[in-house]
Amino acid sequence: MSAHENYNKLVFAGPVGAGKSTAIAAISETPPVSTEETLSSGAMGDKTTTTVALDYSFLNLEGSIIHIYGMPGQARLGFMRNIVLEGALGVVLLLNGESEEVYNDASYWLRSIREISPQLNVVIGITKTENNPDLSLNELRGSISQIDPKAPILSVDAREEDDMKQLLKILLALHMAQAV
Amino acid sequence: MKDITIAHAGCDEAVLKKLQVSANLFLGEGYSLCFKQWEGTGADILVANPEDAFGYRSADVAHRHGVPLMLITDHKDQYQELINDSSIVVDADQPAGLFFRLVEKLLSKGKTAVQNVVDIGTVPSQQADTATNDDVFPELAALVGVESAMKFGLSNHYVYFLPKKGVCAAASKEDFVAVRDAIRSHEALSFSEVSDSESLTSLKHYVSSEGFFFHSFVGMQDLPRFPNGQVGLTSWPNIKSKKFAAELATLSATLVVTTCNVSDVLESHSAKVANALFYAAHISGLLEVKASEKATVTAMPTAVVDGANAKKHHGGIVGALGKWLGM
Repeated sequence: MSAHENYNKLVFAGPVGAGKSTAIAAISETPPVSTEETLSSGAMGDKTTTTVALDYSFLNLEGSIIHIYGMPGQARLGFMRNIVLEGALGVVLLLNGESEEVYNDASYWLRSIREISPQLNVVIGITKTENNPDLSLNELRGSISQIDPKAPILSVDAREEDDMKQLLKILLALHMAQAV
Repeated sequence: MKDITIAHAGCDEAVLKKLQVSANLFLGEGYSLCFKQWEGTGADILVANPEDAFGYRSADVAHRHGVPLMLITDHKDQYQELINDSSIVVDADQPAGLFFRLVEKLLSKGKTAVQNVVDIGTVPSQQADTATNDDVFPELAALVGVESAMKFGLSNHYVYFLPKKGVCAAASKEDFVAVRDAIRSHEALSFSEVSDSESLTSLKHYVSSEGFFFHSFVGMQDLPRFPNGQVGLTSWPNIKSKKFAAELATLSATLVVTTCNVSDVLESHSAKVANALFYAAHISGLLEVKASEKATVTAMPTAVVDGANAKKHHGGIVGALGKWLGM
């Protein structure tokens, strides 16, 4: 049986500053392994470091191990994405709702994932939306309409375990709907 | 014998008794009159006291949808906005005989209008007509299909519906809660279009519009059943919910890829969640309603994840994950 058939990975993807490391930590029982470096471009709000390799954690669910990976946000590490996505149950794509680039990021990342794995289930989590007067959910929907118009989009707080679990529930529902 | 339905809203007992006397008089005319409290459905006539909050709100809805209206008030000048060719104003002290004549007159006046009137909200039975774009929870009908920003709420609490962005906004979280509670308790809400000059800088909190409406509706004990028909979602609804996450995920996963019959969905899933989702998505412009005489039933998965089934197909990983997530 190949790794593809095992579906034993969950992948968190998205640009730098979207909250991938935070999200993985929120659902992990043990602290995730990551390699953090000080941001070369200076602090982004409260964020002063960035992950330069992979975040990694796992869930041990009654003996079934689910590996959790944070896909590197930096373009120079893009070659690792194929490897990380192989055998994934689905991808949580996190986007920073406060970023002016959120619409471009949405289409860029969704297209990148689709190019590697056209059938892979993707759920989009938008962080930092609650106090953001500039974010248009409909424009966001429009930005992915040419790629995957019905991809789930959910406003979330990457620090909240319940929010992250809701994203995973959506992934699982999509997975099961495909299986029916 | 022809059946006539007269709805009433906000009327006191004395007026209801006079209407009952009128009903008896109509029996002799070959009509059978049925009285019921206004539910937003297609009554032939609405008798409403506009001085009562529920009465005013009901009259406003009836007025906008061309339902013949009898206003019970002696302050006619204060309710000019509710008066048109299909309405009659009478004060409560008038004798039952006059009520009879006025109902007769309204039936005559509203004959054409009644035939053409669109049911504007609740559909209590499974044999209900197919939904149209006018079918919505009546108190919020003013928000359906709008393209410009709308402000709605109570005298000191407002929520802004920004349909182009797909969000609702408020100055404080308390405003969201107050308006949500008002919707749940059928309180009278005011609606106004937001002018271009109105500053929105005081708005500090934003949620998806479908999220706001879903959470308003799902807590209602008396949310009318969504009108029957074939429905699907044009986009995934952005509704954050710990309590209903699994049901929302399952429903949405199906409804974004296919259309389903409302009755089938309500029977195979949590009716409370599905019904609230339908209304929320409808107001937010995410619900595609297809009129079809005979619905094509689309199979719906009845559980989010059947653990045993998942285990069989996916070596336990998916099943274990589903169990961990509480699905």
